[in-house]
Amino acid sequence: MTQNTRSPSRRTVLKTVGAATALGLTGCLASGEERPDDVILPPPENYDALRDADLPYPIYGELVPEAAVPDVLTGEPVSTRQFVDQRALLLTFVYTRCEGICLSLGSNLVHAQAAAADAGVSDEIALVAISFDPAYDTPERLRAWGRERGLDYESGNAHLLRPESPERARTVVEGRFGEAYERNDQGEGMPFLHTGLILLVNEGAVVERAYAGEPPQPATVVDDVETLLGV
Amino acid sequence: MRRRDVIGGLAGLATVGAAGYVLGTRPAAGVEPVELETVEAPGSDSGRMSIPEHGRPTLVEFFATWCHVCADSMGDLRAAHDRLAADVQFVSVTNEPLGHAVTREEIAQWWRAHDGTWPVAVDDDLALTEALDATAVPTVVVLDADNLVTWTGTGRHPADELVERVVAAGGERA
Repeated sequence: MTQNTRSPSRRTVLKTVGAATALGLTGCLASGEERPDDVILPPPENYDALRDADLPYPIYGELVPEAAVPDVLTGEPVSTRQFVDQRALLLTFVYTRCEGICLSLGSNLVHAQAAAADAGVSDEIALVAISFDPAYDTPERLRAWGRERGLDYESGNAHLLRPESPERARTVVEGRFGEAYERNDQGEGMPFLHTGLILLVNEGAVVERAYAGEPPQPATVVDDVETLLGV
Repeated sequence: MRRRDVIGGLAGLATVGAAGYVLGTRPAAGVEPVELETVEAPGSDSGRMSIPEHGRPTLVEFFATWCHVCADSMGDLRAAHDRLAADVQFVSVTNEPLGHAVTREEIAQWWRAHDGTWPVAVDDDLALTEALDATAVPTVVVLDADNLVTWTGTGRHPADELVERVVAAGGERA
């Protein structure tokens, strides 16, 4: 989980981050008219611009892409669509090797899990991280990574997904979800640069929020999760 | 209503209030203090602390017990703390959810293991994290006596730099 997402060379990364940054600057383009159905949260402030930007990742109102990837906590595959009609989904993309300044991508899952537990709705949300570095992120390392950050495995709503191969990771993480990543040979302690995407999905499999570009405040993510769950 | 909601409301008012001024001459608004729980640990008493405290400069470091760079930064923080006068508010803060990700005792254990000698507080409601816009760990924020942010830095910083940043915000050396 690197902090430096602003100077990568892979075009898709630049496109993603550049678009998100530019959109941030356009400020408040209120979108009242064409709000998608099947969403609970109001549109993000810059929704019109986001929609026009043809971003590589799914945004507000779009269906979450489908992918089934083995969960290192159970050994069973978990599909990003299996929670339909049962749970909301908070999904992010990680690698465990970050030894530098690490964004709180994993911590957002931990905060959301704690907030759901405090509200007694642990069974209404799934917290899912997909590794894009399966060559290094063995099941043991991924489990240790989650445990270290305080992810609770007992409540059964956390899933740490490890694609079967680096090729499969590329297909799923970048191909389906638009979370671009690349190896970083310069950055000290940061083997990867990546978009830092977090998706909040409702139980109809529709994306409610796609946090990308600038890292979101954990409080923003928790507030959105609480609003979505009605707590 | 959560504390961070109150703070969000206040921040919103501040933004509206400032909108009447010409861009560039906008008067900076000091950060509203947040009252956090402090943990019983070396150099830290169990209690509550208002951060950032009005009337004196503050250095607040956001860390996490899982963060290796945070652990590696403790020597520099300790040296900076030793070299700054007692009137500087010097505090480390973790926002890991208490009772879920960590317990008070685990924070105290981490503090002992890494030789902390100053107050350590918990922001598990994320109120201070949001007020100071910390999105990564470690992040160090320095504020002056009016609670204006004078510097924010992520990652590890030498003790010399930390001291200089606090002195630049009006802090005195020990």
